[in-house]
Amino acid sequence: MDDLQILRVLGGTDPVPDPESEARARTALLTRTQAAPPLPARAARRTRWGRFGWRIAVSAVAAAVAIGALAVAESTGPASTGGQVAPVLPGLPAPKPANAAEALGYAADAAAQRSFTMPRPDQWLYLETKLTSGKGPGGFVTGGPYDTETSRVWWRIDGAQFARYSNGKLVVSPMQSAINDVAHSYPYAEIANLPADPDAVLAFVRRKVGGVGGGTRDGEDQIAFGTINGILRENLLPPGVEAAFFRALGKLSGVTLVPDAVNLDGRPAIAVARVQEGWLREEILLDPQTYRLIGERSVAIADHTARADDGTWSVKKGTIQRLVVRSAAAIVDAPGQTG
Amino acid sequence: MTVTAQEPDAAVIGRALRQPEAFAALFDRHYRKIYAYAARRLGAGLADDIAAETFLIAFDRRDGYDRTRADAGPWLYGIAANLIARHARAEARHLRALARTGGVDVVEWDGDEVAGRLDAAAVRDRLAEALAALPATEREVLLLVAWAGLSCQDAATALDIPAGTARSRLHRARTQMRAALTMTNLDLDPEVDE
Repeated sequence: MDDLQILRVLGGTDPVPDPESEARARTALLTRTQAAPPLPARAARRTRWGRFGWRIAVSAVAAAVAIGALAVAESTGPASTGGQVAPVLPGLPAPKPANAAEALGYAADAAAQRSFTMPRPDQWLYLETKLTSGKGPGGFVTGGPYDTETSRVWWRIDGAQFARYSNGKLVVSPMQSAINDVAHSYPYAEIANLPADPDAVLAFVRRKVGGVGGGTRDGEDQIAFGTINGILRENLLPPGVEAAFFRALGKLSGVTLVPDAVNLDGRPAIAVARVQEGWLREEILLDPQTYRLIGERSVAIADHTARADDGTWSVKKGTIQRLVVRSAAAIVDAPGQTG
Repeated sequence: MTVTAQEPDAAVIGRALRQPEAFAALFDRHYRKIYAYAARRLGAGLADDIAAETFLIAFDRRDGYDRTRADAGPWLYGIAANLIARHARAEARHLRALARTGGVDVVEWDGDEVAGRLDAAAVRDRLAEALAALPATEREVLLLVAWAGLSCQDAATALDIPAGTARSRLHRARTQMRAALTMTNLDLDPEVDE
C-alpha cells in the first residue's frame, strides 16, 4: 500500500447524499435553468460596456465562512471609502436606533447621500481588508494565538482581471483564478445596474442563492444575509443600489440590532446581526456616527461544541470568531494605486 | 444488451446553451461524485450545499466551458474545490474528526522502516494531521488525485493551473504524507507523480 492508497482507505467508501438533499439540489438547478434565457450566440452576452467575461458564481455558502477560528482583533479603522460620508444629519448627534430596521434605514440614508461616479470598465476597485482570525492550521481554538492579515486587492471593473502583491511584485491574474472569491464572482456591472429598490435587490440575491441553505426559510435568509454582507463589503456601489441592499437586509427574517457591538480597537460600533445555527451571531458593523460600513464580525453567543466534535475544542460564549475590517476602498485607474 | 454511446458532457453543455434544461443531464451524471468528494473533504452537512451550488455555478458559467474537453468532471471538481477552499477551518476540523472516527479498521502495509503493522488509529491520526497541515494548494491537488480519482493532468485542469505546478504540488504533498507515515522508501506511482 502506498500513501495514495492509504489516503483512499482513510477517505472511506463514497459518502452518499441524502435523497432529499439530492432532490432539492436538482430542483434548484432546474429552477435556475427554467429561468435562464437561451444563449444562441456569444453576442447575446454583451452589456452596455461591451463583451466581458461574466463570472456569475453563486456565493451561497458565503455565510458559512463565518465558522472561523477565534479572533481577537488588532485593527485600524476604516479609511476614507471613496466618497464623502456625511453624518446622517450634519451638525446633529447621530440618532440612536431602536431596532435593526431603523439602523438599516439610517445606513441606507447615509449611503444615498454619498457622491459617486460610475467607474469605467477599465478602472479598478481597490479594497484593503484586515481579517483577524485564529492562527494555525485551522479548527476552532479556544483562545489565541491570533493573526491579522491585511489583504490588498485590485478588481478590474469589467471583471476581466484582479491584481495583488505576491513576493513584493504586483501580479495581475485573470479573474477565473479568483472564482472562489465570493463577492467578486458577481460582475460589478450586474450589481451596480440593479434597480435602486430593496425588493429588486433582494429578489436578485434570492435568485442567485435560491435552493441552497438547507431548504428552510431560516437557512435561505442566513445565506442571503451573508451574501448581501459580502456584496456591500466588497464593492463601492452607486448610492441608490447600496441603500437598497441595506434596506433589503431589513426584510430578512431574524435580523436584529446589536446596539453595543464594539469594534475591537476600542472604537464603538453598532451592528445589525443574524444568528446562525443558534450560537454564532454574524454582525455587520456600522459606525454609530456616520452609519458607514466598518466590516463584519462573528461572535459566539452561546457555548458551543461542534457536531463533528473530536473532543479537542469547544467555543465559549462571548468569544469572537472572526473580524473583518474594510480599511480602504477606492476606484483607481490602475492596479497598484490606492486612491 | 444494448450499448448506447453516451453523449459527451461537452455536447450536453453545448446543447444547454440553447436548451437550458438539458443541463440536468450533467447533474444526473456527476452530482453523486461531486457530493462524495465534498463530503469527504468537509463532512455531510456542508457537502449538501457545496454539491448543489457547484451545479448552479456550472450552469451559470456554461458558455465559458471549453467544449474541446469531452468530460466535464474536472471542471465540476474544480468549481467544487474552489467552494471547498472557503471552508479551510471546517475542513481541518473534519479531518481531525476523521482521524478518530474514520471508516478504517485495519491498515496494513510494508513500509520498510516500520516494523510490523502500525496501529490503524495511529495511522489515521498521523495521516489526517499531516493532511490538515498541508498548504491548501497542495492538499487540493493531492485529494483531487486520491479522493476524486483525477489524473494529475485533470487536477491541473480542474484547478486551472499549469500541469507542472500540479505535479510539483502533488510531489510535495506526497512527500509530506510519506514522512507522516515514515514510508520513506515506497515507489511512487509514476502515472500520477511524474
